[in-house]
Amino acid sequence: MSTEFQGFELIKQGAEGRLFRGSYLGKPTIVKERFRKTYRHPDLDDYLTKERMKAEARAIVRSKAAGVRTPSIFLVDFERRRIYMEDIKPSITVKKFITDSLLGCSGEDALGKIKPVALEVGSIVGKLHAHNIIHGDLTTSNMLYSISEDGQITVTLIDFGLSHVENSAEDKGVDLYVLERALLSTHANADKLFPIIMQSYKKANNKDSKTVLDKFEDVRARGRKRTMVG
Amino acid sequence: MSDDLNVFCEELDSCTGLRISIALLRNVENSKDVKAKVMSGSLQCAVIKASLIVDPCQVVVAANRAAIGLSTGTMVTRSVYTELLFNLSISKNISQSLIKFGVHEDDQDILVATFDKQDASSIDSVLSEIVGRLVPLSELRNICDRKLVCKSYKVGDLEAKTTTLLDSVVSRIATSEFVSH
Ligand SMILES: Nc1ncnc2c1ncn2[C@@H]1O[C@H](COP(=O)(O)OP(=O)(O)OP(=O)(O)O)[C@@H](O)[C@H]1O
Ligand SMILES: [Mg+2]
Repeated sequence: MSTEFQGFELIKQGAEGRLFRGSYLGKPTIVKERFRKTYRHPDLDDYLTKERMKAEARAIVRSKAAGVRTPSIFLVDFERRRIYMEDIKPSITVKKFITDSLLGCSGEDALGKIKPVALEVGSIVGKLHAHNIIHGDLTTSNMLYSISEDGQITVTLIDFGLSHVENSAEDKGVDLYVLERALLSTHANADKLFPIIMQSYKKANNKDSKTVLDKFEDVRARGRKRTMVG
Repeated sequence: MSDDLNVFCEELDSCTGLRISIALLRNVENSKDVKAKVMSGSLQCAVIKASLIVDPCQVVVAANRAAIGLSTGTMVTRSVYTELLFNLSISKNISQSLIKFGVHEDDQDILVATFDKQDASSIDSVLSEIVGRLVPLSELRNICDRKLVCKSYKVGDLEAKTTTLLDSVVSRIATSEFVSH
């Protein structure tokens, strides 16, 4: 397998695969390539990778239908194990947006700046869940923040590598738990952010927010117990 | 490559060694003839109903899949040109897709596409067979029937509020084998 391909630059080497940035079909493009797992039988590995790639691309397209911004998909290539998608730019991760905002200003000012973004995050997660899309890795690094010239904020959701479509309150609760943990682990003042996110989440996922929140509390309690024991 | 500024060219995946050239014609008078020549194979190109095209990129994404199919021997239709039309559609029905995205006898706005090796382009010779007015691809803005596109690609109102139509369309083209709507 070649390590580089023409015109593309390696931007990330992870455990599961690699990410490249370049131009494809005249468009700024990110390529997500999955590794072969040599401990698996090759046929089984091909099959599992193909199913994973399908689930990822499917969730990206379904999210659009749910009213959530995701990258355009240009090509899904099972042979080369690559998904070619739109490079969202200019953008920064929501994680970086929050960190930068907290750095620059006093608590109150920072919260004022972050609030519209937090509301948007809650709204997109609510829309996903209302359509039974489970993201599976709902961290603030998997959300891209952009702002247009006229001040319009967009949050684009990426990295659907662990997602699936299922009407499961438990899985939705876990999504929320992962998001809360991601916020708490990176941002000191995050305890103020999550309630804002939940406020717009409930609005966007009116249908089953009550059941999901119950599950979320369960998952949280289990998590707490685990940290106390472990 | 064509010298005409109205012809749009894009390089396809490097594994195919191909590029696509696309041109838009209006007030076409001999659509029936052109269609017959394409069907018989005497004219090597795809002729596409322009009202279903949002942006040249839509054709490029479908053409890229067709060209990869050609180079990997995985096409499901007879030629790379029918494969392009089939890939434009999200339906799995080949003949319906070709009818839907292909040109009809009375269509006056048509998009012509040719696959070419890097150096040469055959689009000029194809264009010389068509009686019509060559216009910039930006005119698609006035020709595209967005309502019909939404219906053909099953794009709902909720999606249209947050996602551009081109994004919705290319992402469906890229995933049509395994995503149903
Ligand atoms: N479509 C995109 N547009 C712009 N930037 C992107 C895009 N996809 C990924 N990135 C950038 O690359 C980073 C990693 O991407 P992604 O989350 O898809 O890969 P990953 O291997 O799962 O990484 P991680 O383990 O950090 O989650 C993102 O945080 C983002 O900064
Ligand atoms: Mg990620």
